[in-house]
Amino acid sequence: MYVVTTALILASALYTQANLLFWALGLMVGGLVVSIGWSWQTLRKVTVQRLLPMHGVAGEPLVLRYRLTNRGWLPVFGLVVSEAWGQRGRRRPATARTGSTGTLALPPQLNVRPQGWVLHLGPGQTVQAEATCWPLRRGLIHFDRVVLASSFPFGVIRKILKLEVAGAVLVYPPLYRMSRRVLGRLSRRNVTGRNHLDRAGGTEEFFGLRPYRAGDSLKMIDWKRSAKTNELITREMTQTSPPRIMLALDLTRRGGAADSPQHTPTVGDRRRYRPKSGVASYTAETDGTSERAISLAASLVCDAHFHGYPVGMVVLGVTCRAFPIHHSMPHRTKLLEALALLDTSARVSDLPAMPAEPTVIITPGRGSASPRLGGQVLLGAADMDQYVTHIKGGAAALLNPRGGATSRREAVRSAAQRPRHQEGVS
Amino acid sequence: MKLIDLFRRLVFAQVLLGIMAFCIAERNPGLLLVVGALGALSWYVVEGPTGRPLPRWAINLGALSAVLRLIADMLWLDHHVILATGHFMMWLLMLLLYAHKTNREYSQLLVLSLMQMIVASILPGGVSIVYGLILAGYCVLALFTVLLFQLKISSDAVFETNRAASPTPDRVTRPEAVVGRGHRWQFRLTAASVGLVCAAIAVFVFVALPRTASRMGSALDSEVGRKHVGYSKQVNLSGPPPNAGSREPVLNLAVIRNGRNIGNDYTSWLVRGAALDYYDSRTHAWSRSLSSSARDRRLYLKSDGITLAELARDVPTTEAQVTLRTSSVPTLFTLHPVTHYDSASLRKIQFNPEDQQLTTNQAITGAAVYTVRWPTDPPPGLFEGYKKALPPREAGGRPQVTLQPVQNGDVNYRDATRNWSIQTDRVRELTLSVIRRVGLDRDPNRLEDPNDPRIAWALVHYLRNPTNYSYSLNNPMVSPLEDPVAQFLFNLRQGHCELFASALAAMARSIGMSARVITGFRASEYNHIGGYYVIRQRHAHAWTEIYCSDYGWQQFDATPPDEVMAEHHVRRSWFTGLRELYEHLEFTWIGSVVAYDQRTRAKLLSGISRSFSYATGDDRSWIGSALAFIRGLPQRWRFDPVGYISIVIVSFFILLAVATLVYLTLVHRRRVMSLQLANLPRSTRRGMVQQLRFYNSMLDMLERHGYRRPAWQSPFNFAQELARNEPTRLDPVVTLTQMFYEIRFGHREFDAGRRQRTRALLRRLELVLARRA
Repeated sequence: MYVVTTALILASALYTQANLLFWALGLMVGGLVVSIGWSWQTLRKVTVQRLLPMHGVAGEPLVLRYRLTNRGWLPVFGLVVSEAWGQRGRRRPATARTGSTGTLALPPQLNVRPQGWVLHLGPGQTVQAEATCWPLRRGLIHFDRVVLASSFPFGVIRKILKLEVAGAVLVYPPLYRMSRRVLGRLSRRNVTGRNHLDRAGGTEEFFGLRPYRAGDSLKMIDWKRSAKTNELITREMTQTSPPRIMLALDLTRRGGAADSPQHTPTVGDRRRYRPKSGVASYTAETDGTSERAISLAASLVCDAHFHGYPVGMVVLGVTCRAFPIHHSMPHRTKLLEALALLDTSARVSDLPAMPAEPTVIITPGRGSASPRLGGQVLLGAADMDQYVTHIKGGAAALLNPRGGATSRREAVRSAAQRPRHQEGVS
Repeated sequence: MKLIDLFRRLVFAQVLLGIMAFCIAERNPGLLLVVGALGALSWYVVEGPTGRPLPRWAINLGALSAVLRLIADMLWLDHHVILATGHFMMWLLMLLLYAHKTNREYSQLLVLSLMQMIVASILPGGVSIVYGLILAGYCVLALFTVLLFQLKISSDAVFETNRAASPTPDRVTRPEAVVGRGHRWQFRLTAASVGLVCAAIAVFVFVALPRTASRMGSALDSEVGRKHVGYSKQVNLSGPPPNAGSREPVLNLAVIRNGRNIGNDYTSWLVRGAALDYYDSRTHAWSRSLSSSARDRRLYLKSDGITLAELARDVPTTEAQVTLRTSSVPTLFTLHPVTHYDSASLRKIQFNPEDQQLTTNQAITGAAVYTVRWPTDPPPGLFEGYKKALPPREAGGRPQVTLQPVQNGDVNYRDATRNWSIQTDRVRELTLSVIRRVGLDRDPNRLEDPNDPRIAWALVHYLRNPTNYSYSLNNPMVSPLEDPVAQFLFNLRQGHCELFASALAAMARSIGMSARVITGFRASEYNHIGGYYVIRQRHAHAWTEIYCSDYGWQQFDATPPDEVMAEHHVRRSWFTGLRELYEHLEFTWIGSVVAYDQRTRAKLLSGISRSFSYATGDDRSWIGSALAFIRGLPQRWRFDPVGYISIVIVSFFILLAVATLVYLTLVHRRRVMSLQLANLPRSTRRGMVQQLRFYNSMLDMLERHGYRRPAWQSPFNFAQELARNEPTRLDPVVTLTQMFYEIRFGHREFDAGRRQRTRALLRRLELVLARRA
């Protein structure tokens, strides 16, 4: 448009010989020259550091942060920060999916390139920009390079700088809060009714007596016994025994037609499969029932951890190690990572060694309304909408219920490779 | 978002400024009033707090109407295509102002506004300095608008991409404006630098680009200027009194004799326009006969000027520099009798040696400058000089035309101008009685008798005598069946200059003396600042030329001079000086910018080249001395390589020190202003600035995250407002502000404890703000 307008002014000036048009033409030419000079000089000494979160959740916003430093003498305005994939100089395969610009291949988890925007980056200054993307499915997203682009000042020339900055972020399956009914069913699984261990160290029921040790609570001193024995005696109480969940994810049965690892969801799929209730995620719908089962398992792991239940897991039908029953944040993270990285295309028929008897079985098919004879609960991914509810505040509320300390520890992982500059002007 | 809001306002201002410039260039205040009011109203209708744009169908309907109007303008109303296009674009701009605006509409607004300015620059009104100032303002505004638009486009593109990617597009917000420190002044500085570079390149392009003749017709000029014309190349005596004309300047005239400007308040000049030799007794109008038009010679200036009449070498001449500011008529105004013509921009002219009329068919875009020369005392036989000087007519250069009223093209021109057929006997009787009263006589039937100029003077004195005739612009209209000249001579005895001129011509012709009516201007208003006469539309005048034996065509103004002088008189007051200054500025603007032509360019370039070569070649000039000094440095100071390196290093550090000093001064000044310490004594100011740096850091931090303290708000109110809006997050601001007051007004020392505390609070504030981001 700029060049066309300049050409029009040039034609008008030459035809009419109006001197004011020569002024206008000079200004337009000046703008063109300034654009060329600016695009040549700007972004030359901008460095970028990508700050990735430890993980993302499918269907939830994933915020990528960039630390941008301008070591040049010119300020940068209107800077667009985005990502690019694919090997440089190699032709993109015909089947590769493209981003909004239609030029670069995208990883299967994303449908558009994440883009961030920086209004101003002064000389010698460092700012932090962020780009948000919405991963469509679980898995590891590899990032190859960061693309910096600016069309300032007149939008005539677009300066593009591509920096090789590698990094990766793991995307968990879609997470939901389990319904109270399901959790209640799991907590009533123990038919004896006992909910404590025969072990001291808790606060439940009386377990025994022992001499007072420094640091014992004064409330726990048995004053009557102490008076009788003339030394301080402390009461010991039993520990609570929350429901122990051994989850078996049974992927030996296949799901629907869309349960193919080659199937890549698109924006159209997402809109088509958007559930009316708003409970089940489009990702689970599009990726088939196996993906729904994985999502259900991940949701159960998270919610069980949230409620303090020890959880173990074994996966049937695909290659995955077995996890014994345990309750800790690293343990939960390991379970979610294992679920995120499950390769449903690599099927195996051998059953893994089970650390404990499964208490919950999740299958891609239908579940049953009541526990089985052995006390096992069967949850079917096809009935997922009955088991889960939407999480208020997103999956982060479930993953990091306390926010601060945990999120800070897991917040950023720096991919601090020294970037190599590759410039291009289009 | 402030960026978008500012951009909206700038676009609105730019469009309105463009419309205003167009109306000024078109000289159409009515249109300016209507469109300006409509445009201003659009802000409240569309952009106001309860604003609502017009529906799309209404906009489309309006656009269709504009297209139909454009077609009607060009096909049926016979408006010039440039003018019609300008109006079309203006109505489109109006519609877009009332429409819902996305980036597409904004870009359409910007492009249409720019196109409108291009059109306005072509219009004749674009020569005024007011338009030039508006154009400069428009350029500055457009620079900021385009820069902001570029930022908005990139922001919107990211926003739209994120919306497309999100499963819940409605919840996606615009990307937060991530900015570094001092983004506002850096943006302004960048914009100013970009503008200056653009302006420098524009100057270079303007000066260096060669100019040619315009190929655009002058119909546009006549269409735009038709409402203000006082001068006319036709005199119609049967209509109402002639339009007195506006105060709009038509041309500027500087008269130079022997290298001296001889203009003053007391000398007036008759600036000659059209020579009208044919009087139509049916329409009662004076016009130029086709036989005269047929004798026009096309001339093209290939070198410096053209000699129209041969003069002896020792004949003193006077020169007039004319700056023609309007081209509504193709007449080139001269002083009688013109013998030499020169111009850089108007090189295609037509000249008739018999009526000495200069015309041009070349379009005048903006303004034109030309020079005419004439003998101070016209020698006898000058008419023959025209024949000698001019080249023979080109064969086939002009199509054959039917000549009226003289059928023979070779008839003596003087014979064609000595007939008067209306009440000939009565007019002749009156004329003879007048000249016989002063002892002169002439036989009307003896055409070969010499024309005595004393007869002409006798007639002039008779007409000027207030007891015989009086000057009036409000003479009553005569019946179409009666001749206005005869009515003036015998019945009404009052009239305007055209009637006086016609009466003199009629009387002279009735006794066989060749006479013609001349229309042009009477230059009497002198600009003392610029040293030239300003000729306005209201200075239009008519007089008579009578052929006198041995002297050729002589000018005779029969209009009573006192009345004309009173009509053209300018009362001098304090305002006159201001007006002269303004008009001189405009004259300079027109001369140096609007009327910049090939010759000015060549003069300027050669002047620059000559000055540079002179400056570098002559050791007495400062550039030459500097160059000579630099050239002689190796001989003067003989250094070894270490010495040179030392000089370079020392120079570098000196430059670095100066730059650092300037930078620190600017930073210090900025801090003083932001802390409002300007009223403190200089000695205490520096210490206070050092102590209160933490508060500046806090303000910078807050500004980067969108919390900006207005200049009118006190620190206390600012902190209170932040704490009220976000009490849990921004409590460090309150504490830091309290410390600011303690140090600034409480005379507390900024000790180590306070230093640590401020650092901790700033870190905390940074964390809190970063978490939100």
